[in-house]
Amino acid sequence: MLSPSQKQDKIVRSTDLDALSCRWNCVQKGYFEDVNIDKIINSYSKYLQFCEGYTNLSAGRTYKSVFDRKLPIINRGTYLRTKSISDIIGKFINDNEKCQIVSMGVGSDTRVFKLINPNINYIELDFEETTRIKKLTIINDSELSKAVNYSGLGATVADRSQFQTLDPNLHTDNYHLIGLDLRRLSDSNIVSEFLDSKRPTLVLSECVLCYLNPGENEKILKFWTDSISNLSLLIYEPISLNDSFGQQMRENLGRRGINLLTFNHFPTLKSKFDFLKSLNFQDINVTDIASIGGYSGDELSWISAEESKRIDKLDLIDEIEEIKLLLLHYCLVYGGIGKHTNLSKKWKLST
Amino acid sequence: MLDLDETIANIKECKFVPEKDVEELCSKAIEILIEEGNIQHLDTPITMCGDIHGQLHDVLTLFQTGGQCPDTRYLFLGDFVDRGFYSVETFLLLMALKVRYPDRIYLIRGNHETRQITTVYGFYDECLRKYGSVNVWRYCCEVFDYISLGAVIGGDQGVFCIHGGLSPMINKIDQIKIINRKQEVPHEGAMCDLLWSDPEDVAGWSVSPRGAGYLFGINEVKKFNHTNNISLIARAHQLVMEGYKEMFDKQLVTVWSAPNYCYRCGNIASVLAIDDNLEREYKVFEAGTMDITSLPSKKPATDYFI
Ligand SMILES: C[S@@+](CC[C@H](N)C(=O)[O-])C[C@H]1O[C@@H](n2cnc3c(N)ncnc32)[C@H](O)[C@@H]1O
Ligand SMILES: [Mn+2]
Repeated sequence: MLSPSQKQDKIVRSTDLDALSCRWNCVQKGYFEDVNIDKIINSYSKYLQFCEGYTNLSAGRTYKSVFDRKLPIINRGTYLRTKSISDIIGKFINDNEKCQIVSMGVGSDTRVFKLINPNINYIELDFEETTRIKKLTIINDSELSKAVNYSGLGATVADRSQFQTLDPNLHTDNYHLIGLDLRRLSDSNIVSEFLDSKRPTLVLSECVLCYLNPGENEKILKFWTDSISNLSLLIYEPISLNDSFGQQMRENLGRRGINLLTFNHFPTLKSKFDFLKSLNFQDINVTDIASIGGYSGDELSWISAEESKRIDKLDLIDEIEEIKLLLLHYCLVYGGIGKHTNLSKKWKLST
Repeated sequence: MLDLDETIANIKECKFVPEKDVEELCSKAIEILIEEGNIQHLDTPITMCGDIHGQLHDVLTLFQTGGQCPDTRYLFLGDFVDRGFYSVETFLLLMALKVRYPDRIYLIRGNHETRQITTVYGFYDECLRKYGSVNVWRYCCEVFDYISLGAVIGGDQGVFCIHGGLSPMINKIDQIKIINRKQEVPHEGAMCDLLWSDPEDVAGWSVSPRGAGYLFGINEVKKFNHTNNISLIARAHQLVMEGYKEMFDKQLVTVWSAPNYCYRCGNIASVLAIDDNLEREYKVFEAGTMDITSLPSKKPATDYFI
């Protein structure tokens, strides 16, 4: 039996399958390409059954739900989230000869395989079970191994105990996949050891910090501001806006056991902005996905006319008011300290 | 033979309607709808309802708010199906009421009443899930093709009712009357525009972000109302958080009748009652405290980005 807090963590980990499903749907629809996504999905099909709180049966059911069709509104929002974050990562890499990327709660994100090169030190963090699944995907696949410069052996895992005892970490010269509860980030050296504190560093939280409480958020971000002198921070997450849509979202997600712990604490773009300010970030920029997608009528879109035309053909969005409302409740927050990336993007609120 | 009163009572309790009853209901509905013109001329008083999108429980609240049919006469402005979890029951209820009380309830077609849109937005999947085959979806789509396109209420200086809005190809309401409506809604042209367009603060006709229909502004509305001797365009099609929204010197109104749209939006809903003096009364209502945990087990998830 799982304790209440283990149950909670299991639910939080399961959100990675939702994110994966959203991306898989986008790939099917042609929003973007991802040649590696099927490898991760395949890994989940083998190993989810060995994860805490899953049976063979429940793992099978959960796995199948990855392929449930998503509504156009969800595909469009997933595309905007993925693209806007990738845009910033791309700019960051371009701006820096040698750099470092840290993805907190990376889940089944496959960006690293496309982006990594010898000039980037790439660190990925998530719960141990999640990193084990990713590790098994990598070490049993020659292309992915090559991408992250891993030349060791593969591994077979045939039962729960083999899975649970597998070392959750994978280290190569410049790739570090580390199984770690982020709430323990500052208590352990497990990350610091592989961190190059001199390099310009981009720290990512794509729908991750929202599952931690405000105190934990602060502690985690302090760890980064203390450890890294040239820091770029990028956060994507839901905001409540203190309105009835936000209220309903809290209730609906709560029914699935998902608690958004900063949702009401930082309900607006302004409150996100102020939070980063209190942590001494110098360059702070915030916007919402509705603006990024061009649904706010405010000229702050990040999507070119040509690209808009392309994606409009992929899905028929039947309801503009609704997509705007939904996307207004997701924000992108960027903070810079020291030498950081000049984003040259349009934001709703900037220092 | 179908017992209509019993069927209506059953649907209201969300009970399963056998496939053969659906088939019978659909063919009876078609017999009635086929006789109706593209534009129906209706008397006052009448109560108008906007999008309901398969939210059966909220339709029941709607009838409590506006008065039960047949005591209150109704005009539904389309988008009966998709998105909500009870599109089948919702559409069957409206059809059963139409067959039972043909001159106490009127339906006009929304942009979701098509084969293409329902395969993307839920009605098709729901039929398949509930009946194990797509027959019911086929019967209903057949009915969609016969639903009329618009209505004029109250004659001179009355109300023009349409799901979406205006079309640059239509200056006079009479032009709508000659459209061959008995078809899948086309991707362009007058019939498409009427079901897809939106009012907006724009000068002239502009491209709609929906990818079908147009955006039209105050000038188009004033010109249309003047030309056709009407005082108001009543339409649905756009989510309004307050349930209704008047625009353009009150010459156009959007009525939205799906509270907490998609069990997600947190909005309120309304119906618009027009009396014999063409006075407007908006009656607003909220989503019932339906227990979402009781939703059908294989329901499509209410989705967020998480
Ligand atoms: C919604 S998923 C997002 C995954 C990925 N960032 C993406 O956007 O596709 C949230 C991820 O954060 C991870 N996560 C949440 N809380 C965490 C914690 N305290 N420690 C480590 N990982 C955590 C979860 O395991 C999960 O993989
Ligand atoms: Mn509509």
